[in-house]
Amino acid sequence: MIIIILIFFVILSIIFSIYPLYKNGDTLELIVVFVILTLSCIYGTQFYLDTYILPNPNILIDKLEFLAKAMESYFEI
Amino acid sequence: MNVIYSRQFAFVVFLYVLGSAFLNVPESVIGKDVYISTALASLIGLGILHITIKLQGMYPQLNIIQIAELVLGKIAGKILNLFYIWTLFMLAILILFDIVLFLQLLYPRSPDILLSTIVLLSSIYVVSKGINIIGRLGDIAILPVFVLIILAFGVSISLFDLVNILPVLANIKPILGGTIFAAYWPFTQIIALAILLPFIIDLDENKNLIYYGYIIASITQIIRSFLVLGVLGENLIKISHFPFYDIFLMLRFQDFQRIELFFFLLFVTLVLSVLIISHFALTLSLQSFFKLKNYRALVIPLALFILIFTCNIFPSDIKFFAAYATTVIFFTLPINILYPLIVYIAAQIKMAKKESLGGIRNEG
Repeated sequence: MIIIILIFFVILSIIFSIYPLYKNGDTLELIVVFVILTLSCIYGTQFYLDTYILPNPNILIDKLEFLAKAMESYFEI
Repeated sequence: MNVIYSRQFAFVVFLYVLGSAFLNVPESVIGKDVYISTALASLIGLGILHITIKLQGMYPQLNIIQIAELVLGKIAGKILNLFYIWTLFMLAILILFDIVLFLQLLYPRSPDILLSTIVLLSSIYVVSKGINIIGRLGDIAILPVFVLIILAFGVSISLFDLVNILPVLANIKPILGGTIFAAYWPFTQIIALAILLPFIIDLDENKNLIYYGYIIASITQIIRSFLVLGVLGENLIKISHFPFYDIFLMLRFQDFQRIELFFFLLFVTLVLSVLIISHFALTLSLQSFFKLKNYRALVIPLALFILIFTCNIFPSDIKFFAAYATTVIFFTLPINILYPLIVYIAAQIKMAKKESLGGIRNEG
C-alpha cells in the first residue's frame, strides 16, 4: 500500500509542482521540492522494507525517553 | 487577495485550539484535577499569543521567520527558524497521527496509510487555495461547531457525577505535570499560527477579537476537561485515548444508539481544520525559510513528507502512548515557548537601540 501511495503522490507532485516549476525555470523551488520528494521516497521505501539506511528520526525520541520517565516520576503521573 | 480579517482569524484560532485536543485530552494522564491543569496551561498559551501579536505589531509587513532573521542576524535567525520549522513539522505529524487514530475507531478495517492519504488530500486542496479559503472555512465552520459543542456538553451532563470530581486540589504535583502536558498540546501550539499573522489586514484595530477567540476556546477546553473527569472518573480517563469520545459511547437515549456518530461532523471538522492549518503553516515557513517565490509547489511534496514521517516516527499507537506521548513534549514545548520569547526580546533590544540612536542624532 505504501509504495502505491508513494507513486501516487510523486505523480501528483510531478503534475502540479515539478512541471509548472520546470516551465517557469524556478530552480531553487525545484531543488527544494526534489529534496523533499527524495527524502520521502527513501524513508517510505525504508518503512516498507523495514530496513534503515538513513537514521530513523524516532531514535532521537528514544534517546530522550529517560527525561520523560524522570518527569513522570517527579510529577507523580 | 491573500488576506483575512481579524474576525476570521479569531475563528481559526478557536477551531485550532479546540480541534488540536478536543477528543484526546493529553493532560488526562494525571486523572484528578485535570481541568485545573487545562486552565493553567491556557494561560501559558495566552502569553505566547500575546507575544506573537505584539511582535507582529512591531513588524507588520513581515512574518515571524523574517522577523527572526532581521532581529537576530542571518545565521542565528536561520538556526532558530530551523527549530520553529521542526516544531511545526512535529505538530503536523502529531495531528495526522491523532486524526488517523480517531478515524480508525470508526473505520477499523481501513489501513491507517489510506486514511492518512484521504485526510491529506483534503488538506492539500484547501492549502493550495490559500489563506482566503482557510478564513472562509473558519466563517462557515464556526456556527455548526459551536452549536454541536453546546449540544455535546448538554448531553454529557446527564452522565456527570460530582463524586468523580472530589477531592479538589488533593495533590499539587500532578496538576503541574498535567499543565505541562496541556501546554504542549494544544495551548502553546498556537505558535504555529504566528506565521499567518501578516495576512490579517485589520490586526491593529481588531486584535482583541483574536484574544476572544482564544479565550472562548480555552474556556470550552476547561469545561470539556471538567465534564470528562466528572463523567468518566479518574481511573477511566487515565487509560482512555479519546476520553471525550468515550462519553458518547456511554450515552443511550431510548432506542437511539451510536450517538457519537451524530457528533462526527464536529470531530472531523475540528481535527481537519487543525491539520489544514498546520500543513499551511509548515508550507509557509519553508517558503519563507528558503525565500521561495511561491508556496504552492511545496504543498503536495510536504503532504507526502508528513505522511511518510508519521509512519516512521509513530509506527504504532501502543508505542506512542507507552513511551512517545511524554517524550515528544521535550521536542516541542521548549521551542514553542522559547522561540517567540527570544525573537520578541531581540526585537525589543533592536527597537531600543534604534530609538536611542535616533535620540543621539536628534541631540547632535
